[in-house]
Amino acid sequence: MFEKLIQDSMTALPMLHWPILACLVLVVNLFGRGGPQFYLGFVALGLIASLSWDIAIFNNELRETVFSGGVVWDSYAQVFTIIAKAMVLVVTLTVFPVAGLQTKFFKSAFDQTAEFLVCLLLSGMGVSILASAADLTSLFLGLEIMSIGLYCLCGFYRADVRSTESGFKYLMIGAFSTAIFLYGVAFIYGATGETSYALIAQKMTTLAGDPLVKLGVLFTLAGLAFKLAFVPFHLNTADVYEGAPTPVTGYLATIVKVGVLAASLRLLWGVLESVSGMWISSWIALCALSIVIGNVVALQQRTMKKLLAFSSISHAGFMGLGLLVSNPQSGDVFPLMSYIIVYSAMSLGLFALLTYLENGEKPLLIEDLRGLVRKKVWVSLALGIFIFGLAGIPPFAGFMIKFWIFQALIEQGYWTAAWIGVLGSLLGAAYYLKVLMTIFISEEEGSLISYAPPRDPILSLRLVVIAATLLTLLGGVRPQLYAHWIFSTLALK
Amino acid sequence: MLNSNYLLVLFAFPFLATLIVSMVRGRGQAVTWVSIALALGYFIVVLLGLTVTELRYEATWFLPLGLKYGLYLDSYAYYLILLSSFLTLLALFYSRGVVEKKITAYHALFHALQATVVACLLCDDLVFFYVFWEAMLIPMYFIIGVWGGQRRLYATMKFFLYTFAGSLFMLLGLIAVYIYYYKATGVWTASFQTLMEYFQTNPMPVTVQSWIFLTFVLSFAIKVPLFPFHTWLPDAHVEAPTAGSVILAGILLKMGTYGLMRFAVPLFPEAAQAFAGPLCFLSVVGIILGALVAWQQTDIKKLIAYSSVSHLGFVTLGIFMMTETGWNGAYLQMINHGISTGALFLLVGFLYDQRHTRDISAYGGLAKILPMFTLILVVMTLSSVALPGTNGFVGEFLILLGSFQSNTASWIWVVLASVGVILGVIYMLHMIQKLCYGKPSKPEVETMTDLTWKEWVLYSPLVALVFFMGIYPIWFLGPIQEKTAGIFATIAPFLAK
Amino acid sequence: MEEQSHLQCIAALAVLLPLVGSALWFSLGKKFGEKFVSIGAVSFLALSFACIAYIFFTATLPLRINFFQWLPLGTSSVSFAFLFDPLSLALSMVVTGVGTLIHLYATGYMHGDAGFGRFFSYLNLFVFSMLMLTLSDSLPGLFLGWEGVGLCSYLLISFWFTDEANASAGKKAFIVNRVGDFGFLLAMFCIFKVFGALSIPEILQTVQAGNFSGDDLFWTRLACFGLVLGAAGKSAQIPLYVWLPDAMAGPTPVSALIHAATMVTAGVYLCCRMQPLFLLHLDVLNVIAYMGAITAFFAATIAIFQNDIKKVLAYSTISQLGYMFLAVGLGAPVAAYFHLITHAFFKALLFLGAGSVIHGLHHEQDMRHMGGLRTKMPITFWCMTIGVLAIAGVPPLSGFVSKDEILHNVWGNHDWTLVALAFTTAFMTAFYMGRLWIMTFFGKFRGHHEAHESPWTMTSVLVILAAASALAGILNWPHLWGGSETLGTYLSTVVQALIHHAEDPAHALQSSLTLAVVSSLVGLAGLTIAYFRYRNFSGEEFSSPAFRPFQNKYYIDELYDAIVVKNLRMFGKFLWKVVDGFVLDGVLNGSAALASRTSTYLRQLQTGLMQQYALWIWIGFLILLLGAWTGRS
Repeated sequence: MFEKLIQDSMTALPMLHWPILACLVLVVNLFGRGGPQFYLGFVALGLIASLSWDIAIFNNELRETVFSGGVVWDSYAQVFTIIAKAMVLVVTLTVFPVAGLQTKFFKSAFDQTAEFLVCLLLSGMGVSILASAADLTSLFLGLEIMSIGLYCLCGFYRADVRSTESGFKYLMIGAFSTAIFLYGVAFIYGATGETSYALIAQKMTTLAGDPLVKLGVLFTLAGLAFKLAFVPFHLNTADVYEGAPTPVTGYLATIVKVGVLAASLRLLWGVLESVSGMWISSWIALCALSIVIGNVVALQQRTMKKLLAFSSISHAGFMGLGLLVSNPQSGDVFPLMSYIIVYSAMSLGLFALLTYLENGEKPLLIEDLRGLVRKKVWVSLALGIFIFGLAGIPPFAGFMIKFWIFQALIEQGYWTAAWIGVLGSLLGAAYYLKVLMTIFISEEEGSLISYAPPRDPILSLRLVVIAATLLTLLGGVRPQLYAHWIFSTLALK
Repeated sequence: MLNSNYLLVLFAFPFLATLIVSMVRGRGQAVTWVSIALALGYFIVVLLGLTVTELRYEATWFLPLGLKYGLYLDSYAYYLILLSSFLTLLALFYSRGVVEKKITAYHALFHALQATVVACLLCDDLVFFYVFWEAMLIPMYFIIGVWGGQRRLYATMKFFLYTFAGSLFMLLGLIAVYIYYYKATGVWTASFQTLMEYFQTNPMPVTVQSWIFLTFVLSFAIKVPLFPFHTWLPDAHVEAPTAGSVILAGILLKMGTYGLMRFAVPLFPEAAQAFAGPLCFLSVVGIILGALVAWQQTDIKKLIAYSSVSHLGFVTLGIFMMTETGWNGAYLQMINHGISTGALFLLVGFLYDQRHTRDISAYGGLAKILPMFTLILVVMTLSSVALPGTNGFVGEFLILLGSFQSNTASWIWVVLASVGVILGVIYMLHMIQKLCYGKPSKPEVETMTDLTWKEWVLYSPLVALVFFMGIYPIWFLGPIQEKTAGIFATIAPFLAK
Repeated sequence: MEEQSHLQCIAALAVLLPLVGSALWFSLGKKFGEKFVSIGAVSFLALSFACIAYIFFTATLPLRINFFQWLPLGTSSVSFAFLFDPLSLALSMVVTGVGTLIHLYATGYMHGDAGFGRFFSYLNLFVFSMLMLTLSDSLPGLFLGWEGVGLCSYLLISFWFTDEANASAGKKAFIVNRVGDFGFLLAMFCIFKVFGALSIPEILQTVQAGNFSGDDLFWTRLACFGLVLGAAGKSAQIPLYVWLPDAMAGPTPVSALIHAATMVTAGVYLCCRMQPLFLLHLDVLNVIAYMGAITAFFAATIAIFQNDIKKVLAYSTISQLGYMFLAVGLGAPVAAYFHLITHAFFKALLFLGAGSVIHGLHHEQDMRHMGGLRTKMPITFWCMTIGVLAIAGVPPLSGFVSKDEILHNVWGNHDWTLVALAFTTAFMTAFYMGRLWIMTFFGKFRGHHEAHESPWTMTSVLVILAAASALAGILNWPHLWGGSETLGTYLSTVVQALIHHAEDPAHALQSSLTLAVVSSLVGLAGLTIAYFRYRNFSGEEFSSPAFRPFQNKYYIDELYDAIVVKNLRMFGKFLWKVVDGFVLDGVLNGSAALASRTSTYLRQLQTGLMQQYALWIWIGFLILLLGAWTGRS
């Protein structure tokens, strides 16, 4: 009885690296008195080890359902686990400079570095489960593991009211969305009597017009939309992103969306393909609304993190369109994957810079960045490149990934979505340019110029920023960097 | 030597120059001379290719979905690159003593601007044409933004967003062509040459062709600028630093007309035929509006900006009337406009550096105090007023004569455009009179110094070009004629008889 | 063919000398001083005249000299080439001949002026452009000369640019000329559309040979009207004459050379050159005739009431040009050309005479402050007298012969309105010239300064011109009066006259003699009436309001200003403020404002209160649900 379990866990080992590492950290925390730097170093090394392990044993043809049908371990699961680990590694590297700090604000927050890292790792595990879920229950399981880890991450600065507010709001909305999600799952289960993807898919072919299925699909969709922060469900995003510690905001803006997208890719195209009539038009509506309204509201934002919150909503809209045009059976997932990789790189790079720049007491206003280029040339150059990338302005990678999506949209005839995407990126360019203007062009002196951050950007942060800038800069002119990897790993066309 | 590697050198040199200039530390002077030397070097490199007719470079970097770094050089692209390198050299040489703050960034941005313009001109791949078409905006955005005048924030924001919005529509049109080709032949490629050959034999249905043509025209019209989309130009010119205005007027505006001649009309001849009437109407309105509004301006730079709207109205008229002579004239007029308006902006810059105002009434009686300056100003005005014997006349005459024979749109447009010839004189002589004639009444004007050898180095090549191309345009029009003949051979079957 | 290249270099020398000269005087004028410039300028002009004369006497006409290709026009192309034939040679002889004399005169007149070098540079540039105009073989080449002379007249009118009025007079001249050039351009386009080429000999050949379809005739008719508009612009005829009186702001030698002898005749030259084309459309010729007659009459009426000596001569030039166009319109180009040549002599003489008077009275131009100068300036007086008698049409001077020729043709045409106009203008010409003559030289001296005779350089030119205008008549002495009509036969190879007096010789002689007597009587009457009217002229005249419109030149300038200039300026402001400012920018800024307003509105949704969030989310979700539900099932 145990052999099956051991054998399954051996095949899906990469997914289990997360809990193993988390437990190791807990155990070490019991004995050792290592400072925050020690734990961060330990986790970073652990992640690097598991990453290299996963890449080493990467197997394209592998496709096994393990844990009695709960999880299917195929090339998708492996790729998304690798991506999730890479991003969590980046977040831990971003936390390094923050953790080492002894100022009043951080001191009280970071004496529990270990707890921070455990939540981070477990949330990462949630993402792996989401990516490899083959059953509605394990999908729900993954969703909850990821979210619970996040609730405490968001509220980690106990001393700061905004952080607790953010954690609490994320919890409330999280619970709300999980309820709706479960409601949807219940309806689907009611209609088909199955929870496993494969069986539901077969049943779905016969239940094309069934109202119960339609209701179930829509509610599940709403649950996923909450996590992806599509427009009608995005209202708490601004406050959550503003309050949470900046590395966690980075985590929220990228990895959470990646995980949920992986799950919805499998669910929508894998399972609900036959009833796609039900959900395609509302999915397009969700994405279109997110792109346009996300960018419009971002126009008037004054704090940097809120602006990036709404910009991540619009990027989520684009990724939704990426998902719309991808087709897992034929392996045509390139637009979505390229968008995920490049967007995450740019966002995490930008958030790393913000962690370095902000002085913690008050939220980082755009005015603070005024005339930054006169004092901190390299930091502003990097900021400029990321912002140009996020705005989707050519020669940077940000444009190429939008190009692939527009190209796929037009190829499959989604013209309205393409036109709305164009309008959205135009609106986007407007507020990104405003930020660029304050950094590079304005004459006045922002508060951040005089504010010398107490800690110099140690090696980890520099690594993250350099890697991200290179990918944004070269990715546009020579998309071969990430394109080749995507094609080869996902056995795509 | 003139093989495809030359194209690679042509493509890569400005990018290298940008890197080198941005690396140079040390005092301002070092950077200035390094940058001028590099600009001169590039100008010479471009001059080497004077005899080139057609070169092609196939990059080995294969990208997903058939996008390839193909480079293609023909006489249309070549002469614009020559103009761009020439004007950049002049602009950098001009801004030696003028620019104080952030000199390294200033020179690096100008080289970056040249790099993106040249890359855009050389790209054979539609997608990478689009990438560099947008990338051109970034250096210009910073040049206007950082070294501009008072309202530079509004001006540069307007400039960037307006062009960006237009080009986004072109992006969709471009992708539609790219997909249409894939659906028709199952091959992923965006190389312009292959698309041209394909669409020549089996063209798209006119309805599809029309809306794609309109997206292309919208993006290029904003850049040209064609009549309703021109309101960004006066603001951008007024706020841009002198060197910025020279490059903006000399080269960036031409990218719009170049795009029309290279991509929009050859790819979609029937659509161009269908929309020729309204587009000619817009060009004519642009000519007349540009001239009349320029006459009312008190700010010299705005006056010249509106004159550019009027001049490029002639060029677009030549293009949309779709005749061979018209196209030769239009292309020549693009180069002429670069020379005369570039020179006019340098002259205004010369005045601005001494007197720090662009208000036309602040000057007066310059002919007495600055006789040499007045001579150059009058020569450049004559060129922009198209006096026979100068290059302006050859361009305008060919456009109007050629377009008069066309049967794509009615000849009334040419008559109305010729009215622009009269209006042109009115506002230009108005400027000359306000600036140069009359008694020099203001004390500050008395103390202004006339041209020194530095200015002569700037202006003498321009004056020489004005008269040389006015008297002997054949050396330049020869290769252009072959290229136009080639294009018209491909689109002739679709043109109305 | 070496003979060809030998002529080629002479022709090139003739035309390029003035161009090289103009560059020299402009750059070296200041350094080498007046002496160098004056000798240089006059000698360059004389040399150019010699070359033209050499070609005139030796070359077999028509001689076509080609240089290099200029404009590629697809099928055909335009190249820089000269066409020496009777028409162009006659006019270029006049241009260089009279030009040299006026250059000599100008060295005296402009002595001591700061811009001495600059003046001669512009004058030489003018001669270069005028030669390009007359000798060019292709229409664009002619157009190059056409606009070149326009540019030089602009530069020379506003030569003393420190005075704002001169500058705007120059600007006005250039703009009005450009209106004419618009017509010329249009004509070129139509011609190219029909003939597919722009070289004049080619066009005229196809016109003689070809028969034209209805469509072609439309275009050639439009071309003719374009050429007429161009000629009217350049030769200051009715609609576009307003710039010539203001052009008097320039120095007097300029008025003499450009605005009397050469440039203004370009229009007549063009009509004669393209006469075969005009012959296709007789109604256009009729239009030219009427334009000429009415302009002649109209300008004469204004000339009577002018007090500024140069303004009188300016209006008289417009009137005499009207005569020439009348002759061309009636299909008698030889008469027009003859009058053109004689007019060049005596009008240049009159202008230079007036110049010497002004020079003598230290730039006093108002005739009311002159009088009794015949004793103080005898040479000027006697030369001016010959000029006045010539223009008044007193036999046997050249003016009488050429004008009589035109009147003869007008009479032969039997169009009584034209005849009436022509004869009344003849009378009025005699009257206002008499008035000018008497007011300046007779009665007592009303001026302030002490008058003195001009230096030899000026008076010698006056004498030469006086001799020329006296004897020029023999150039085309009509057959009927035993003359050989040398000019007629010379030009007959190029232009052909329409009106042939078919009656028997005896009757023709009798009618031409009576006509000659009548025209000379009209001239003498005008002079005597002027003599008696102004013998003891005291100073003021025409006080009664009835003459107000005439004195203010029928308020034409004010009319043009009100109708054209003011409206254009208002339209410009409207385009700028309303179309650009309000509409286009409005749309732009409006859409930006719309985006930011909706964004501030949507931002208000972020109240931070959880309950509101939940509410909005449910509403959003319900809308989505309804959308999905009611949409496709």
